[in-house]
Amino acid sequence: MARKLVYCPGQTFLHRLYPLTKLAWLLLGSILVFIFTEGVILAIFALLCLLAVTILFPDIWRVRGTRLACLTGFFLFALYILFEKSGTTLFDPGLNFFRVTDSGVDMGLRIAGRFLSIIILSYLFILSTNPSDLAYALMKLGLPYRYGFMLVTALRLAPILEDEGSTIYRAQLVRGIRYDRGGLKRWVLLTTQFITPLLISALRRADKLVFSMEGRGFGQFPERTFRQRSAPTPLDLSFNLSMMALAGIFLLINFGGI
Amino acid sequence: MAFVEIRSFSYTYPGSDKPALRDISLSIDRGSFVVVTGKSGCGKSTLGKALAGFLFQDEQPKFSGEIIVNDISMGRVPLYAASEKVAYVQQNPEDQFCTLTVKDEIAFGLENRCVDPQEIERRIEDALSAVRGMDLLDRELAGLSGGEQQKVAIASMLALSPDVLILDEPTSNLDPLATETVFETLHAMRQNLDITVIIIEHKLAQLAAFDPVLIVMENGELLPIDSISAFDDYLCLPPPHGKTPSLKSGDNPTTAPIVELENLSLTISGKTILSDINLKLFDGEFISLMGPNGSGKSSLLLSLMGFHASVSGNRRVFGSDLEKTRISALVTEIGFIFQNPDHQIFTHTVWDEVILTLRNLDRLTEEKKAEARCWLDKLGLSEKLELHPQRLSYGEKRRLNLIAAILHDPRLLLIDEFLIGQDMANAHIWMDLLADYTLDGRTVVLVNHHAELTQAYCNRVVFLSNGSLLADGPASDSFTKIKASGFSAFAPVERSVRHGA
Repeated sequence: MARKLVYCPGQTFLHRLYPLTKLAWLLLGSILVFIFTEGVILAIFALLCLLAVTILFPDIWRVRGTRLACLTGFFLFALYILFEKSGTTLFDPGLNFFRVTDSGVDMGLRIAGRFLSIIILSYLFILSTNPSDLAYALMKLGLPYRYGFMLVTALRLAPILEDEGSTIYRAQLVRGIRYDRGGLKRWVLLTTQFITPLLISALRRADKLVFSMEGRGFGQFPERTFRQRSAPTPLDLSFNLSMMALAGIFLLINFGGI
Repeated sequence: MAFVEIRSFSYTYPGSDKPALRDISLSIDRGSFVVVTGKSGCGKSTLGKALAGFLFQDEQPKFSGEIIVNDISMGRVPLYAASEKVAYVQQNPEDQFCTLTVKDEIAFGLENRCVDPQEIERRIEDALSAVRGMDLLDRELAGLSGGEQQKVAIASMLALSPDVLILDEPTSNLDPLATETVFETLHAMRQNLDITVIIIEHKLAQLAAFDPVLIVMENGELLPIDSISAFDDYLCLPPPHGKTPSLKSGDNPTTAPIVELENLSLTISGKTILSDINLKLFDGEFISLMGPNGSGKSSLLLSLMGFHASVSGNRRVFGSDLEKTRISALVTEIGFIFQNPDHQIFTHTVWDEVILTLRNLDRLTEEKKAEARCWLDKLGLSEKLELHPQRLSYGEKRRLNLIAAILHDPRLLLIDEFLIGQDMANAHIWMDLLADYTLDGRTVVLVNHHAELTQAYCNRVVFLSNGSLLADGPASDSFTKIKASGFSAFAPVERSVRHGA
């Protein structure tokens, strides 16, 4: 059964890294893939990411969207092979409309590599990072706590609202409402009938949450303290050094002509 | 002066002409254990919110009189200052939680008040110890049971060291076992902490053992102490009304079962929800489906309606194999009422809501419209036909849900936790209505935790424990088995209540 792309609790070294370390490398990694210019480098980078996610999360292929992302990457590569005709011909089967060029391969590897690298880096980040820990880490870093708690409360309410949406849909069905009948106008009506109770429920919850938060002094002071939470460890330092070395090697190969 | 002093306090909600509280005067001593009770809509929760200072946050709150807690006038201080004196635990802990883990939730208020991080750690442990919940320390909120959630909700308030702790129907969503745990926790907490506890509750019988001061409200006013004895009527069950159907569980060989489950099992995300359920339902039964929170009651109801596709075993409903039957085909024979009234209101007027199912099933006739009016009249909604259903009170919405679910004459009515938040007087009215509904041979399956009501009205009890069928039979037989299996809290018991002063 497919599962959602959400935080997956675990004890891998990636899980044990400080959230901001991972966020920083997600951003740096995303920038790096646009700095790299060689298709082969980008393809190797994407394959390394894929290898990492497969080792750390063996059931990654059950996560919704993984196969689609990989297929899209392959499709992008195939598109450039098919339609990019400039450069030296590497393979010509004798058909007028199709020949493989070095430029096509390079462009295909570059685009597909960038696409897959960013997607898989995001997967690694999402699957290994507790969003709540991330929000608290950001707040400790200086994000105003009112904004930080927007994220925390959204994380809190999202699964509840998802459940409620499922109940409302079922409640519609038991009242004889059928989504498989009628045209666009009816579909709009049914959607409105679905969203209205969901919205009302969300507003009621928000109202009660305000009670709960203000009743515990939220907003009383411009700053707040935080309980003792995880902080960067030597593992983060080792990870940062390793990643910098890896990035350096890739940059040297790409631009140094090694 | 008493620790909590309410002086001639009246309050009217914005947009309303009718006061929700009228001329309330009350004194509560420090360290008291006070139970506020009364029928649904009598103003209990409003009084709780007033004591916690929540009602004074509007720009121009309509109130008169004064509420003083430990020398602070609650109407004259900002909410954060009021909340340092009085903590308010909401009815549903899920509504109160604003973080994702037990530690973060208990730390939340302390962090807002800039308490030192080391002190926060100490107070988290103290608060959890006070509610006997140290085993929850490293848990995520999402995985907690109802009783555990309530413990965390209480601990998150206790951590702030309030003078007064108000709990608004803290056990309304809990089974009797979890209810006992919460009440015992409160009692133990009081013995260890110097705190005044005010609990708004309907379940007086379970609280009587803790010798509380009882405050009874009616129509926004306090009932005089000498009239509380009359309130015994509210607590006691009336004698059996003689309407209970005489059929017994599974012993009517002359009719085929309307529902037949064979070895029904359900697993969701690797967790067993239902395990090997064998069950037959017959015409005319009024069945109480009972069991601890999380035992699979709601999942069983949903399975009967065909919602869980990934079940194993056989399900036959009205002679059809449920796996091959569309839900739209079942709707004509089965009515379903969900737990939350707001989740099953889809139209803009009460009248449209009542006739929605009939319209969808192409069964809206003049005769049916007349029947709808008759029901609306009977349940006191005939004056509100053009109102938006969301503007109705909770009790009115429940009545609307019932009419909307039964107007197309389903032979089987499935109801999930209908009695939550209802006082006993209202609960009797509901049970009476449902018992009547079964008189014509229609069947009702009601998920509930009221052992006494079940004994008085239902002719069959089905009890689930950990997804398995623990007892199934006539109420008396089932309750004997339930008690013998260590679930005495779910069986009716002899109870008496003492009144405080």
